[in-house]
Amino acid sequence: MGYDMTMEISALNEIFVEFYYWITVPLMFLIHVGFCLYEVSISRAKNHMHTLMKNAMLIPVVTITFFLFGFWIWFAGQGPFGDFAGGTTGLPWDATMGANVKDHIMGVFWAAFLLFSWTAASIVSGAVIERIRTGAFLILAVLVGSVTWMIDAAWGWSPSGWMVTDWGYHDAYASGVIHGICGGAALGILTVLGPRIGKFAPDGTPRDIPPNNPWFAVIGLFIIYTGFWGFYAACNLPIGNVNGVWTATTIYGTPTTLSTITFNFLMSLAGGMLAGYFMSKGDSFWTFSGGLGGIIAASAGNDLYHPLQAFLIGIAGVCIAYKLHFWVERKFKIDDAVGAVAVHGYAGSFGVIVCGFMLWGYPAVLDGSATINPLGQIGGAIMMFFVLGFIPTFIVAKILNAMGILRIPHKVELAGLDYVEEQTRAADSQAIVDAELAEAK
Amino acid sequence: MSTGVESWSAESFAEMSAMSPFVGSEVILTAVVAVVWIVWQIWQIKAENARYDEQEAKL
Repeated sequence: MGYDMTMEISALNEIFVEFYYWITVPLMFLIHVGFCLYEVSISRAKNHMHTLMKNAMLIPVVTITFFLFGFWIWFAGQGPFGDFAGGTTGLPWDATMGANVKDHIMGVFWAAFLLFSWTAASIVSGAVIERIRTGAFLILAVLVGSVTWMIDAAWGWSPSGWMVTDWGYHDAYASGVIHGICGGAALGILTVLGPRIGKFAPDGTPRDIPPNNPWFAVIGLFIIYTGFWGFYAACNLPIGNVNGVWTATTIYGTPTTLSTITFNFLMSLAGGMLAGYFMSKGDSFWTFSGGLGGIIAASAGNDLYHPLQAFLIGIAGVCIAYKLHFWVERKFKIDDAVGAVAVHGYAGSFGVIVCGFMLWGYPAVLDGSATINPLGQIGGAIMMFFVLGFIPTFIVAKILNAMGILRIPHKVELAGLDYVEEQTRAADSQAIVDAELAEAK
Repeated sequence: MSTGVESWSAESFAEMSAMSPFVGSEVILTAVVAVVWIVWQIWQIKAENARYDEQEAKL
């Protein structure tokens, strides 16, 4: 009995692609583990459980809304502006959105996108800890994780998105489409939410609210680094035939290689860590955040940069983000508890803009009908950070604030967001001790 | 009686696409799940508000 080798290889190729994406999902799960550990460690002991639950509950809420409409937005929003030519692809009742013997990949692809959505909402989560209500945060998490980032991905992170085909927008590993937008979204909320009580002295001087557990916070960032490998891998298509050559491609269908992104991921991480250490004079939190910022700054063009370019862009992005963070904090009294706006928003936007100069004239799409250029990238950075990032969350936060459901009540914030649980736990423990003592007598 | 697939024979499998039970109910399921999500979200906000009211009263 013989084999049809063409069919065998074709089937193996399909299974490889499915498995490739599938393995990125548990890797990206680590990003969320890292975010939870990091946020809880940054928060004060009186707010630990609230901080954990606020972040953890975005998982079910973003997941269900992403299934209901988030994934569909990505398909529907591609093509010319306002075209909505995606049909039913990605809608919950589409035949591919479930157990289907004719389609093996959609659920895996959906999950890879969903984990990006969790990351998007989680980036916002860190900035607003210790004073936002969980209910308000979850509404904003749905807005960012299942709506606005999916719009920007449809427009700027697909080969047929109008920002790509009309502006030549290029953002291979999501400097803008994830990090820029989420930094802007966090800033929009922070502007309305206000700082934590005590963050600023009466004369406006910012005070440092130190992490409850600094070394656990950096372990959280270490875990995010690990998960970031899954994020990078998920941004690629593992095998594609580019004009007769088999290679990995970006989401735009333009060629890259695993070798390239491995070089550049690590070199931009190294540059970012060196810069973070230098700028903060060895502060652990900013050194590790710098590593993340370095990757984010180089991500837009890490499909094509030379490793030394990625290294230098990582350094520059982190230096700018660090300086901007403290300038915005002093000037506008913005309390970004984890530096999310800086590490994701400023470093990401810088990365999008610098990519326009570094890759000026490179084809943005395979047929060369659009080319990467500085103006397209500057427009893209503004679109991500302000138009789709800052403005929607600012408006929704204003509405939630007017309804009185945005911020934790003043007295509760002072006492601690876990006050009730802690009192109950202490009372329960005492009751057990009393019962045991009574039994002993 | 079957809620979906009745056979994994080569003929049936070749014709098959969706494998889950009650094919055709997806739109109704979507509406039900959307309601579950919205109701949960409203309940969560109300529960959280009540909790903070209670906590403020104690402080």
